[in-house]
Amino acid sequence: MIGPTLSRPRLVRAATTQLADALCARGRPVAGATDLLIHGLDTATPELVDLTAMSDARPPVEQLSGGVTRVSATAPISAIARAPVPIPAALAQAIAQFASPQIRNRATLGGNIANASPAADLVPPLVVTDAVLGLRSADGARSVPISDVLAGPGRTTLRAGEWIDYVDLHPVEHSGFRKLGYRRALAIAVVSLAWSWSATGTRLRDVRLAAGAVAPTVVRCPHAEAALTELTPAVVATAATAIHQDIAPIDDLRAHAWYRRDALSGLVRELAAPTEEQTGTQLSERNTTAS
Amino acid sequence: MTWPATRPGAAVRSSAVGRSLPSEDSAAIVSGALEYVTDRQVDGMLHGAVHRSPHPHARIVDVDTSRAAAEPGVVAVLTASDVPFNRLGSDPHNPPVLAGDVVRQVGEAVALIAAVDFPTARRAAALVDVTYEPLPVVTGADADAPTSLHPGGNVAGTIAFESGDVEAALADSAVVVDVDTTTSAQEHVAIETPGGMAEWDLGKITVWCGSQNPGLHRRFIAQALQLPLDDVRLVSNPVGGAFGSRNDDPAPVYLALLAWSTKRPIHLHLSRTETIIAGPKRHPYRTRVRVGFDRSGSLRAIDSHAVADTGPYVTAGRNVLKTSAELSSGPYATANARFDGTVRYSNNANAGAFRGFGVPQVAFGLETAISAAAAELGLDPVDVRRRNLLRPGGRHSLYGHTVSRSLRALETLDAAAAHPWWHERDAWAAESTPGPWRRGTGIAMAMKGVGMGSGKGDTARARLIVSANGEVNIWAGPNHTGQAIATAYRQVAADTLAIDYDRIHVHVGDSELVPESGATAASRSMYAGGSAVQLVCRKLRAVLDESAVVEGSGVSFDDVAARLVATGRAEYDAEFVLPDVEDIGRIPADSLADYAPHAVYGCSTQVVRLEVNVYTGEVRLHGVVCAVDAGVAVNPGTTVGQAEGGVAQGIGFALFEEYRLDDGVPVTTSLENYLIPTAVDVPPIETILVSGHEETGPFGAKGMSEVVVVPTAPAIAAAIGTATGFWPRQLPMTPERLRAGLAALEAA
Ligand SMILES: Cc1cc2nc3c(=O)[nH]c(=O)nc-3n(C[C@H](O)[C@H](O)[C@H](O)COP(=O)(O)OP(=O)(O)OC[C@H]3O[C@@H](n4cnc5c(N)ncnc54)[C@H](O)[C@@H]3O)c2cc1C
Repeated sequence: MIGPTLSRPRLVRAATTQLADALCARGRPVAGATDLLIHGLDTATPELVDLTAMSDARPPVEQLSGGVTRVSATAPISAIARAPVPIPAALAQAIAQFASPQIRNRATLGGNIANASPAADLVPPLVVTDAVLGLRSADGARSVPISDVLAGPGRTTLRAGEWIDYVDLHPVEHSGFRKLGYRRALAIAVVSLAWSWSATGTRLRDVRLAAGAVAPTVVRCPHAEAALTELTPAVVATAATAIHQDIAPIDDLRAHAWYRRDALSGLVRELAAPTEEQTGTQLSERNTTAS
Repeated sequence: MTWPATRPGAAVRSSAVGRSLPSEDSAAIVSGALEYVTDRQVDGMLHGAVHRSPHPHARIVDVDTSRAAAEPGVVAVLTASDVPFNRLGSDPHNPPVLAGDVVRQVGEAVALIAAVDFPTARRAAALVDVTYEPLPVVTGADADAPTSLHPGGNVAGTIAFESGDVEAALADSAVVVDVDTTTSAQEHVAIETPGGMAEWDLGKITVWCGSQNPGLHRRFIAQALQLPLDDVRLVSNPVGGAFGSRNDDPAPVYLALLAWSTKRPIHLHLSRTETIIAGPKRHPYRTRVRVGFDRSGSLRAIDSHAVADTGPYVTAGRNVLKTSAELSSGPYATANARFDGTVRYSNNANAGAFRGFGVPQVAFGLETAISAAAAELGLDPVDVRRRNLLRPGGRHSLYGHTVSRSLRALETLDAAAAHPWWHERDAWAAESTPGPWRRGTGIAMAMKGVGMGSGKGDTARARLIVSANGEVNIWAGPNHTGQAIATAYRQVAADTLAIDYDRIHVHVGDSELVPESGATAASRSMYAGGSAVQLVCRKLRAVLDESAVVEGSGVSFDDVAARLVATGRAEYDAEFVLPDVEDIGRIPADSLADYAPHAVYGCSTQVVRLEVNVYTGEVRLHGVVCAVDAGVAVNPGTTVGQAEGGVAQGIGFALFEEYRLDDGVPVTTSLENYLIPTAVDVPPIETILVSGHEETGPFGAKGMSEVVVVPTAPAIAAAIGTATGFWPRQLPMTPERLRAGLAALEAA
């Protein structure tokens, strides 16, 4: 069968140069290949550079100074969830609600970001933790905030030959993630919501909300953030309506736009009554049991 | 004791019937070692592929195979004109093997390719140039279709029957509930997609391909190729599931055609997407049900109107509608019942046989109506059902025929209602947390006939041969399509013969060796096949009895076996004709087969407890109780397996599964967008095997594998209604549909 060749660089530096070389020949990185599997191999891609065989790859999670958590973009997300260093709740919950145990053993954070699906589950947690991506290319390394990378469905601002090495998450007091899929495993999000804030009594500060599958990219929700000053039912109800100004959902095979708006409001309303289900812990337990 | 001891000295043997003995191939299945029909290969075999229509309805103006045939490695390109008899069956409305003049659905097969490898075959399939002239598309089973798909219009069949005076009874009922329900086209999703191998050798064709009806497929092949029946052999297992999809599957015919035409071994294995697009579906129905009750909760009348969409051709559609008619009154007794049903053609997917066979659709309407009536009457849904149940030996509401004394509808209802999930339902609901999740518990029940029904001459057969070394081989049908039926036959044989289980070998699924025994369908295999096995074993047993010496004489089965072989008494045949109803009631005697009522029915009652998120419409199942009346469960383990699998399929039907088309063009074409429940979507299932005994069945057994699919959806709907006040009428009950219903309720 004709198809791209696969190279498996053993060192980070080699991966970068390999990608630069491959670039001339229109190559591309591959990690868990779980998106590649769905999209199929494009015959115009003569070379794949596998980012999962580097012996000097960073650990799945590291704690940096200033409370920053550095998460590997090329480790399987199950390794991130298992790491001894804790990660923000929003990301942990997103991983728990992601695909299935098998897919979580392959899929990576870098692949989820680069695939740039508006429904990508790991991206809203990055948005609410002001994540900064560590990128590498033959030209050197640079840091870019997550929101500057998302350009549209399937589109990022990553440069040719550039790959995501790690993601730095900023500390947040409270955070969480809720996915609404049509079944409890192996389902693409119909809508999703990540949040983070600091709280004094019932008053909220530094509120960040990010929604998935309701716009061409995962989006911050400034109108809803402004409205969400408190976790009382009345205030939350206002935020649940305000969020409609932050999103532009479409009708597709999975859902009508009206339902995406309605259901996202529902996820915001759930913030007033945080339950075990809402945070997804029950789901993750069940998923774990099933594995 | 008058029979020879199993081994010299062996005194006591425990019975096999009633034990959960593992199936013979279970270790090979779980370890992946089992070679399924599609795993089969031989050196030098060719590979097949199918060219399929992209149009829901179009005239074929021209088929040009030259580019495909010129592709290096292509051995044959076959079109309609290459098929000696181009129809699957004898009715002009049956599907063609390959479309000739017109295509009537997306995915309809137009050409078959044989090539040296699969990529070449697939490439060549894409190179067949078909010129189509699109025709108006019939997008559903509506009466105002833009065109006729067959001469004589789009009605494929109708059935109407009334007992008593339904209108009058409804007019003077205290409460009348009228529900209009729709159910979706469900996909079987057998884990192994259709395919296998075929070989042509010395003027005979052998096909290895999954089939629920090897005899029927053998006839289809013989007819299509115009060969004598004896020159066609179908080996139809091991196969990875069926659920009705392998009743009318054309894959065995494609394989035979390719092998016959190339005179070489051929392998064909359809992809999941091909299977979803071209394969059969559960008939989508619109069912309007009216039920009338008096104040005390006595059922006065059932009125059921159903319209089914069978797609472009007749396969199982008319029989599916017939079964809907018979079970439109469910397990209930009332003096006034009416059914009026129509099955119509469309350019949607061909709908065929599917576990439950027309019952889940009408039962969803009926059970929903009965639950709603109980709520309106302010009566307990169990009491309302209990008070109106059909009794053992009683008369069927619609046809007035007598039903078997083994009917245990009441016992399944009582067993399910005795479960704590049912009687603690209010306390459980009251524990709901303040958030969006509301708790509810629902109950529903169903009954389903066993076998093809009266007037059909439904028969199963078995053949037995004793070998000189004391082994007993039995060839029996219906076939094993994943439910370990051969193991149950073996258990029946062991207890009938009263010889060692290990000496008995049961073979199913090979049309050359197994006498014609009909389909693995209609919940009939255990009952019909088991009975035939029991009869053939009784013949041998009688011979053993007369030739035997008293126990302890030291004469073993080996001695007797050798003598039977030496004296030409080693082979036995038997057949079991399923009994017709004792009294045909209101059915005219000359049209008994048109209504085909059953004497023997299996029953199930199910309780579902669940939570609904009223903000989002999500449903979270907590558990299902499945009480089932199987008569005597010959193998309780596999019976529970059938119940759990049935409930899981019922959950899919209720909450997830919907094959969708847009103007006749499929949109849910893979398992990424056609969702079935995963392991974490199926809650704990507690199966209760209600004790019963069917006197005409083997050791008291009857069929149960379909009825377990039926109550799940209406029980889920009732639980949702109880939890939220919104009573769903449309399947599947997706979050979006539930939210739409809840929002309308909030607005009101
Ligand atoms: C069965 C199944 C279920 C799924 N369920 C979910 C789900 O629940 N939620 C969800 O969000 N997604 C889901 N996905 C999609 C997919 O698993 C995720 O997007 C995953 O994170 C992709 O990671 P990967 O390492 O497999 O990416 P790959 O397939 O290896 O790559 C995807 C894309 O990213 C690029 N890429 C990969 N790594 C990098 C890098 N480090 N830097 C730059 N570019 C890179 C590749 O070139 C490619 O374009 C599912 C997929 C499958 C097959």
